[in-house]
Amino acid sequence: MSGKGTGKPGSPGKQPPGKKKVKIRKDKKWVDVDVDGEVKKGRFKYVKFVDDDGLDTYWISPE
Amino acid sequence: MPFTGSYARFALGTWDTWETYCQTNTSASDYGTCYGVFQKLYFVQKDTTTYPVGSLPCEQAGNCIRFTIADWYYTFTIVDNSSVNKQILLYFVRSKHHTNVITLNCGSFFVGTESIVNPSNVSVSDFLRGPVRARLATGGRCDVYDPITNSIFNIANQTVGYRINMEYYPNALGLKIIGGFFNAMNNNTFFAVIAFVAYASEASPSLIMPVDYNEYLAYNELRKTVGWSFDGVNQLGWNASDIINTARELFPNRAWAVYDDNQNVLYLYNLTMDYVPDWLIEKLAPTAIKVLKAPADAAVAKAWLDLLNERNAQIPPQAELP
Repeated sequence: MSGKGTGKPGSPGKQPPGKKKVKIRKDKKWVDVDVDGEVKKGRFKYVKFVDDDGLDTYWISPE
Repeated sequence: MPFTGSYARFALGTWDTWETYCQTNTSASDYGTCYGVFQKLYFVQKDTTTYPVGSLPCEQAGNCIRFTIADWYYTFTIVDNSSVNKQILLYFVRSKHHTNVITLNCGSFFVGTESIVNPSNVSVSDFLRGPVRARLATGGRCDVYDPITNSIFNIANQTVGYRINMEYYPNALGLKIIGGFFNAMNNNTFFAVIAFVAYASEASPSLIMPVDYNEYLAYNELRKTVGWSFDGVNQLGWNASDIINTARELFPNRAWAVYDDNQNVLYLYNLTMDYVPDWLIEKLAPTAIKVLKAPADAAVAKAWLDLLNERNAQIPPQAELP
């Protein structure tokens, strides 16, 4: 189970082991997400994950 | 989210009144007198022998500016630094000249919007890149949707009159009044102008999709959703979800992106992150990027990127394709 499309990216207990987790600021709250990858664009770095809406999402890296 | 915008009003000799009038009958006792004038209008009288400069009643009353040359055009500058980096949404002029008839000119209406990409280096040709129809309404019809008032301006019955053009200058908006074929800037002519300019700021969602103007023009839905901009980036709209829905319907097989500046989210359609150029990310600095639909055909995404880079040639392409 990759977690893709489950709509539950912020549930640590359900995620497969070994995935990097980061905290991102979303909807005025800090949430944990499992990172599927990272990509750098210009000055910015984004982490990739599947968001609650099931869409592949890139969020600006908190690091 | 409403379109962020405002109106600017520019008046030359009149203040939205039908009463403005100058006596141009040289036999009349009140020749050269102007009535109902707000500030100053322009009066063209070349004959400085019969009518020395300063002798016209309107000159003496201080409500006209005398021209002694019947030029092809006169340029007024609406100094408005706020126009920089904004789009002209619509623009119309009411002018009046040597007859007692108000002429509605919408010759400089833009059907849609165009943007000032680089205000320090703007030429007329940049601004007028659209087809002729974009800047000169034919048949006197000017159907322009105005998101600010949520209405459509349809000024019909354009009669013979001056042709009004507008031009951009660095940091300013210029208004050029050009003598038309039927009513050139004749001697013994006065003219008064009122112009409304509506601006839409860049702080609005945008459709990022290079489209040809003719293509844009064909879609009423698209025209009501976003304004057209040559660079394919500054095509502003007023509601990100509406833009997405419209683009889905009209362009299901094309690649496009929508930037929601309210949430700072960039949505990609038939695109992946690989095709988003670095310069676009630098420009928008989105907090999040969401892939609405990955491309079934990489050529579609590549075409989007190539065209976007082509139309933003001042920014070197930096995207690394897989």
